[in-house]
Amino acid sequence: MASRSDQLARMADEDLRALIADADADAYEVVYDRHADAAFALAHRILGSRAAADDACQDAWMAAWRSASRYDPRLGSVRSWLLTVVHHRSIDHVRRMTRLRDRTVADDAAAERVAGDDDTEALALAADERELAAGLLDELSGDQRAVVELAFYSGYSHSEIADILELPLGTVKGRMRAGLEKLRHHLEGAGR
Amino acid sequence: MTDCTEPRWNELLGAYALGACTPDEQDGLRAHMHHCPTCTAELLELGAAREALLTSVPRAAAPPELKSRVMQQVRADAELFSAAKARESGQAPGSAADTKPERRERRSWWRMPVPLAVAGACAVVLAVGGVLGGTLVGGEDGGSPSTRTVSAKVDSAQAPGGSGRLVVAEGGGSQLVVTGMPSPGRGRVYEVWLLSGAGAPHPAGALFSVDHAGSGSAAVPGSLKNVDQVLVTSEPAGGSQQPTRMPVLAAQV
Repeated sequence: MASRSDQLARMADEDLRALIADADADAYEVVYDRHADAAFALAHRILGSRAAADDACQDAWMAAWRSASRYDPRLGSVRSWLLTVVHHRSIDHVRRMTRLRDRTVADDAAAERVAGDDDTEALALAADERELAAGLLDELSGDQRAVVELAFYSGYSHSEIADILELPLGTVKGRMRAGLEKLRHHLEGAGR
Repeated sequence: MTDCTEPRWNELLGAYALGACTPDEQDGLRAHMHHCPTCTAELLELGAAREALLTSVPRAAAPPELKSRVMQQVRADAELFSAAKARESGQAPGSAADTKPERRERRSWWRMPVPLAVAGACAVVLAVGGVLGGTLVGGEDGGSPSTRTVSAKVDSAQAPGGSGRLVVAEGGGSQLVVTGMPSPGRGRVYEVWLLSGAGAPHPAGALFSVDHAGSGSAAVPGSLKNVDQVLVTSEPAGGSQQPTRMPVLAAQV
């Protein structure tokens, strides 16, 4: 007879979610194991240091655990819900960090996001990211990629991005929309 | 070409999907989408690209100690919840009754029995991680004989750095004072609840917010003679008839 942990390990995320809503810690551990690396990678991409990513992920995993009963499966998969929680928490962190440092408008993506104690690591990461985060974002033009990255991974608003890039606000909004449309068409073409 | 008749909202869809709108714009766009199927459909289409961005990042393995910390807190939460649920059904935790497929949601914390309801409800949030924002003390301010002050327990996850004190006036007119608290959230207020015996918390009739420094206060009307706990939750503006969120603060009267 299969142990409970074996049974849980075979269950789909959506079924585990129902158990988690009833405070089943074992079910949550299975979900954690499945998505912890993706969650950490996302936080690391946004925050640029393992220490900050660790903090953001701890916040996010606890927030998800405590709000599991409010998760609406119609709005997406458990994975995308969890990663969205991680994204929000990470952007909150990066905004707090940059607010503390009088957010400069001359930002050059990841390197300056975490300037300070994590300078070396951030600079290495920024270089790493430019090499490794190829793929999906390479589908975008340079102009589109800049606005998408500044918004989604650096947490800037459209008006802040307009200031940073010295562009009209309408142009920024248009590039964001066009960039997402281009990614969508690429994903459809790739059968995803 | 979009069929939306209000292009100012439609042109925000890309920024909205990327999280780059202001809070006012987010609210406005959500309201607009209630009556604009075009924008709703277009936003859903952009959702796939947004989801792909969540995972199109360089790989990084989560540190093992992160899992240890998270699961330690999660299991502490789960044990308290299980104990409170067992107490409610008159069974020991882990007994047959405890394993029944109940579907009571955790957010209905106030339905748990007292005192475990309070211990469970508040401690689920307040005690995890071994961090308690305060301790229960009485008469610490050396105030007049008709008043005493108790320190509140604050949920360190919801309100890191927050603290609260309840000045209990025996004849009525008690006052709750908080410092270092976060904003209750956009369109929300803090609401004060009174918990007595095994009943559900009832509204104290006191709503408050906090200033930029996180300071605020609320007059708690009436006597607290038969009240066990004073709780605070974040609620939609105007307050609620029942708590909709876990307490951010609890003071033992």
